[in-house]
Amino acid sequence: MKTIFTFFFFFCVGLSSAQSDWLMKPYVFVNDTLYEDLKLPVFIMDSTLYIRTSNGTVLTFPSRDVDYISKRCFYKRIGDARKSKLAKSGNTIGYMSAYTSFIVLRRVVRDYLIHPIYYANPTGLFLLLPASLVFKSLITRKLITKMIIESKGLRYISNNEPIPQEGIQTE
Amino acid sequence: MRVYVKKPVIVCENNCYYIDKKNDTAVVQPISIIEGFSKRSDIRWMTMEDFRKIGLNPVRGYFWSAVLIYPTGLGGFILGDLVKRRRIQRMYIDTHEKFYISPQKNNR
Repeated sequence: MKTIFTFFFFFCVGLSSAQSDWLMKPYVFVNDTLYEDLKLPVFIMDSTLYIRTSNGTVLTFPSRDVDYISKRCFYKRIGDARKSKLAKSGNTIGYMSAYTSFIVLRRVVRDYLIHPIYYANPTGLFLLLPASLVFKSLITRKLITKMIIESKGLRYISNNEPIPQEGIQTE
Repeated sequence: MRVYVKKPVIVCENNCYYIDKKNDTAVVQPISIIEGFSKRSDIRWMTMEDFRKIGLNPVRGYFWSAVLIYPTGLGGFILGDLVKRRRIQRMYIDTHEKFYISPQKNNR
């Protein structure tokens, strides 16, 4: 009986992975056109889908034309609350999470050096999880802002071009 | 033409708001004439509603930034945020509400 259940379990795993789109890189279907190998994040804001292709171009489509968004896109809907988050600065919270991570990692390493065999104290690691979530949200926020700005036809000047470090280039 | 600006630069409803470093004035330009930004300009996209909210609400927190500056240096980061917020406020008031008198100034 156990063997049958084990086989059934593996059969289900294989079947579900074959049916799902987890094996493929992030893709979307818009107007029967496939855009694959996308970069994250993929999001919908003000009835517009924003995607970034693998060569770095930002494309926007009205959300009514979107046929399918794959699961690996982890797409977000950006409402009013998230929009106001984009306007906020992340300096302080970023510093706090970096400081927390540093303290936790230092403690883990130090404890491990003192008790390499008996080390089994994961208390500090609970602080690492919210800190890394904050980091992730800050990075996502930056990427979303960048995509919105690039979708308006503006571009970020790369370091190779001779431009001052803080400045706008206008006509 | 290159324009040296103070951080942050605001992109809001097809307009770009910044403070010119040279003559220290808030400037608003349509996006159509802007070619690009340097990576360290700290560009923020925001809705007009958020811009108005930040622009008209008073900036608070200088006390805590001073208190928390030692020992971790957290106050420095709070102060950095407050300075940026102050600049956004200045950009909003100079470009939208030229004759606005802040409640703090009015009380004096």
